[in-house]
Amino acid sequence: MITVSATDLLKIVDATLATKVEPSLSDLNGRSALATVRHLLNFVRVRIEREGQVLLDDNKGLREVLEQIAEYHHAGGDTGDWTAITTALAAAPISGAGASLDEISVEAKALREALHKGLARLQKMRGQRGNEPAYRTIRAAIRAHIVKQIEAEGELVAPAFFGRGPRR
Amino acid sequence: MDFRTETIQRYLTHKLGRPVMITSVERFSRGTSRQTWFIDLDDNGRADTLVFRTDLAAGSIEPTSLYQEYFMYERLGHTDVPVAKVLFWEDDPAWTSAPFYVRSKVEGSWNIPGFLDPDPKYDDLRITISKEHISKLALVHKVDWKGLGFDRQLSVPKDEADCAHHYIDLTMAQFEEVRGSGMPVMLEAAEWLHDNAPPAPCVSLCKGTNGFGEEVFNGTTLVAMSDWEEASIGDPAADFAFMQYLAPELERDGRKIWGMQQAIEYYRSISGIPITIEAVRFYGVLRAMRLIAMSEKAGTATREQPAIAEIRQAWTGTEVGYICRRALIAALGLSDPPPASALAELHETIEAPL
Repeated sequence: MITVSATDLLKIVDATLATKVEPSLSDLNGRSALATVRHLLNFVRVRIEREGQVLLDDNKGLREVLEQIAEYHHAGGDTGDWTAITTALAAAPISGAGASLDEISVEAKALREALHKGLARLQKMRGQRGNEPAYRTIRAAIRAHIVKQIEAEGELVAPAFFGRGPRR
Repeated sequence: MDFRTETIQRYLTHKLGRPVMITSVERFSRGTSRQTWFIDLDDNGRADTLVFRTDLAAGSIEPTSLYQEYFMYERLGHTDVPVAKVLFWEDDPAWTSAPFYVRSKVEGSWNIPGFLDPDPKYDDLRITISKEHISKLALVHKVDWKGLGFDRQLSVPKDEADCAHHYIDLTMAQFEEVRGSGMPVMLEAAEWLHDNAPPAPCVSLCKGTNGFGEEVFNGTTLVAMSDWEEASIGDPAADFAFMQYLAPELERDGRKIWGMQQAIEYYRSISGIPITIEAVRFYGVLRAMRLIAMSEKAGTATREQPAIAEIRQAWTGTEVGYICRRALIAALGLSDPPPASALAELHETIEAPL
């Protein structure tokens, strides 16, 4: 077994860039690109460490909110909208145990697209249903998911970038 | 265009119709949207510098075309707005596989020494620069955009009440064209903005991104307004929301001596155009949406053309997009804003660290 992990390697690559490569660069464009490279390497490291679970949790939450939207349309007799959302849910791949980060991302992409289109359809109903409790509840559920997803994204971005110097 | 000395020398000799000698070719390290090259030349014993602008190899992060940027410089050359003189547009496949345009270089710098230094001794400089910039923005907002035909390239709102709605719809259309995946926060934000859209005081030519790092200063004089790729026609309040650093919030001995409120009051005193701080905040949300559209375009270039995309596009496609999404949910009252320090860091460069 190779005991030096991917994140160990990224750390030493970054340290080498900082101590060996950066001092040898006199060109401003090269130094600027190197600053960006170092930030992105750090981002890759954090994502390797944490993104799998973040995406799995988000995909679970996405499926729940999409099912809520389907139920809302079913109750409202919106056959076309119900079909659109249930079809999208059924078509989204499900990451099995041992799925790679890329495979989990493909599932996330399909589910996010379904939520985007589902919300767009709901927004078109706002004029007629905006004051109905059920409509307000489903819109609130979507907003809650959006906030949760973006805050979770922050768990990957903040430790990778914030307070670590110029990006370019 | 291949920016090798020999190629440019051959090209300019052909284009100018006289032999020139290229003495230096340098790519400008700042800027994320497009490539900027400074070409120093000896033109019959006279030293000159030309600026070449072209898209990034994997495409600009801007939703608007390079031609529109060229068009802006060309039209602005017929106004009092200080801009570099545009010289020519080139898309002849004999010379280049991607279009570019050339403009003259105006002596000065994007950097303003001391401006970002928190030492109070620079407060007078900060206020002087801010007023200078605002007076030049007022010139932009007074341009007769209809008479000069800016509406041949820029879309136009129906009237003052339509300015905000028009800009939201334009931004969403641009976003939908480039988005890499579903992003429902953009739909939520657009709906919220439509609900809260302020009427504009007038329908003006607007610069788009402006301020520190976007203009050329010589001493305390703004000698050239640069970076017109985000120009639009609409509410002049947008330009105060798109302003970088040049309305700094300054407080000394417990007294507010300058800030956005003072800046818009000064602007009104010289332009007669009333802008509200609420409208500036409104357009700040729209700016975050526009940056998300750019981030998505940069992300697409990174995914689809990794061999030729620039590393800076990968950064724009990641951290920049996140910061703006965070700003959107904060504007909607759903979460905390990103830390102010993180926002400041986005503008930081190795040339001008904070």
